[in-house]
Amino acid sequence: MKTDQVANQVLAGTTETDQRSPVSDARLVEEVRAGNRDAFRELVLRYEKKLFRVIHRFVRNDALAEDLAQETFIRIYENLDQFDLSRRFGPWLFQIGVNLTLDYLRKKKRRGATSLFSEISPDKTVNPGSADPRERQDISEEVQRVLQDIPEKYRTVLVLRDLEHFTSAEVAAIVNRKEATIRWRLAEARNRFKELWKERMGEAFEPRLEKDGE
Amino acid sequence: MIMSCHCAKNRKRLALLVDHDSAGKLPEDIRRILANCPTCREHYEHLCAAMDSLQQAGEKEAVFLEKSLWSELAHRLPDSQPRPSRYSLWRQQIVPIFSVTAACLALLLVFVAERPAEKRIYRTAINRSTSSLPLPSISVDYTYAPFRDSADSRSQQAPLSIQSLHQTHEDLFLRETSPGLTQDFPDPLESQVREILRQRRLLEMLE
Repeated sequence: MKTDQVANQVLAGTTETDQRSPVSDARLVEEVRAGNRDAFRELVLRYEKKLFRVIHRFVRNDALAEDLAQETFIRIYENLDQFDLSRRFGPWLFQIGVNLTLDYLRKKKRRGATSLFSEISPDKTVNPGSADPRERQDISEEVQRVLQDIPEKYRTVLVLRDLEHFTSAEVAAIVNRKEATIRWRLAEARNRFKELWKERMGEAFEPRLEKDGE
Repeated sequence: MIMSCHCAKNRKRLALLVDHDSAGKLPEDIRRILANCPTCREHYEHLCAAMDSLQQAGEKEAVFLEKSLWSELAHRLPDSQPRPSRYSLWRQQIVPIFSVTAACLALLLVFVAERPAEKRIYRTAINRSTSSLPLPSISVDYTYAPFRDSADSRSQQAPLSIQSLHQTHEDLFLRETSPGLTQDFPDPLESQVREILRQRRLLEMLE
């Protein structure tokens, strides 16, 4: 799967940019520490697209995602002295980015926002009696509304694993939990999503395999 | 829908197997479960359908960064270079040295503590003077009066051991080789004789 490959390349620090200039992330970090700003620029170019996309999954707002991505890179730059060169740079970057985003959303929620994905108005509901609600409403909005109802720790894993196609090991590194915990959370998140999706879609919910079998 | 305990257990496994990469190659036991258990089959089908919707939404929602963040970021970065802090330098240099020293001390303590107790002898001057000399082989007759008492007292205080016999040997040897020390180790027979002589002298005086 192409998205999977890109995700793996980004985390391993071997993107297309990397193929042109095969300098490892650790080497670039050392150069930044030595005062080379161009090395940091290289790191930014290497990870900005993926980081922006991951943050956008949570906030669903271009400007906000850009701000949070920039903030993440500033935090990275400021704390680069604390980075352990024996570890991989990618998971550390995404860990800071995801934590920053989740903190922002928590603060926003505490301030009175109704949901983490506040771009969607929560009063919109699907009429289960209609033949196919997906014809009337965008499926992605429906999915986002269902995701709102899943607790944050499960939703984070679901988004990173199933929407951004990070591997379980990579998600574990980003969320700073054991891989077994991530697998457990992933199973729970998928089951919860399935229950909520089924509940939301009502009779319009037709399992794929039944359709395939017809 | 009532699920058996096995169905509840299978839900976790099925949820982890819902993946585009692994859908076609389910493990044999899971295939058997799906073929025989309608509850599990239904759950798996719904799970697949829900995940399909999630994937579709994910692909539809994928956004791309139009322009690089660097142009704005370059102005926002702090001027100071991110150098290792003094504390981290200290930690990198001092901590390993301290750890090695502590480990050596711990090893030394363990080594000293495990030494046999017999070897730790605080020798007196007498011990030092006699320890290098071989002990004479003296057969001790404990029926002999002077030794009977001491043998009795020893047997009352502590069981007769090789060490106590060794001590007796040493005492006898000292008595034989160092005449001046007899005052420190008074012979009970001698004192009895002296007492008899003293009493006899007193009687003579009284007469």
